[in-house]
Amino acid sequence: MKLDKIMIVDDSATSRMIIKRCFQMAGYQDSTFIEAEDGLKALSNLNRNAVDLVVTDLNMPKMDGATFIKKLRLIDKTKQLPVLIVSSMGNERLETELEDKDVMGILRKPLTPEKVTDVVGE
Amino acid sequence: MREVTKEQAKAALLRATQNTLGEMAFIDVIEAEEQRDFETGQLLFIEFYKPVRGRLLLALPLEIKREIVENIHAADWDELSVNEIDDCLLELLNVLGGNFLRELEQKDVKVHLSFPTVLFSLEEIPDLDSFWKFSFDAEGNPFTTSLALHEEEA
Repeated sequence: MKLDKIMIVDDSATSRMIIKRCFQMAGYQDSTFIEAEDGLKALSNLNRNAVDLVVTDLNMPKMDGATFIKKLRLIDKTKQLPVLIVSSMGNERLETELEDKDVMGILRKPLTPEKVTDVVGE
Repeated sequence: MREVTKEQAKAALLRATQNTLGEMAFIDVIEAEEQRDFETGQLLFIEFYKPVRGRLLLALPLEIKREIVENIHAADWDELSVNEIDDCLLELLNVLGGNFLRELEQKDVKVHLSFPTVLFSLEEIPDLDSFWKFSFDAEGNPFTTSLALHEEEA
């Protein structure tokens, strides 16, 4: 999968760093990474920057991941944008609900390069 | 809520701790053969609401705290800010909490956690006596995880 720009949305700077590192180790070392600490900031950023993939956590202050994804799907520009969830809170039921919102998958933390490759490819 | 025995909780906590510290910080963890005293360098606390209600308290000596943070950041301790260190340890506890609940249930269940926090003293937890305390060993260094499970369902 070609990913020039990847947006990482997570309230933890450590988690954003780990996600970025895992993508780089999975072969996306030349991608540009844009970071946001919650859904609100991510939406605002997406107004200005087009990205190829959004990687988001679920448990975040201000706007959680599920709400963020629902809002993404209401905006023409981001309606079809691929979204991947990386969280310690996912479950099968939520996965089914979010699949309806065209979510690529839910990866459990701790993230590893292998998990990235399994879902996104190299 | 189904009855969770202390042994079940300990086994789930050990697997979750091994997975979390192993994959995030490349640190091997085993069950401690005996409880060893240590000077606490960091206290971290998280609550969980689903699939069971309870609280988790992680007490780390300075040696492990440093090793975890340095390994995750791939940087020297002196290069890291207090915010970076706190955020790193809080994220670790967040992941540990989610892993523990899934290990406890032995399946991929709905997990609901609070935001983790740093504690400055054990006195912030008034009913500490109600916690089960488990001792682990991280490559020769002791640390403890204390767990309280609550009766009523979320």
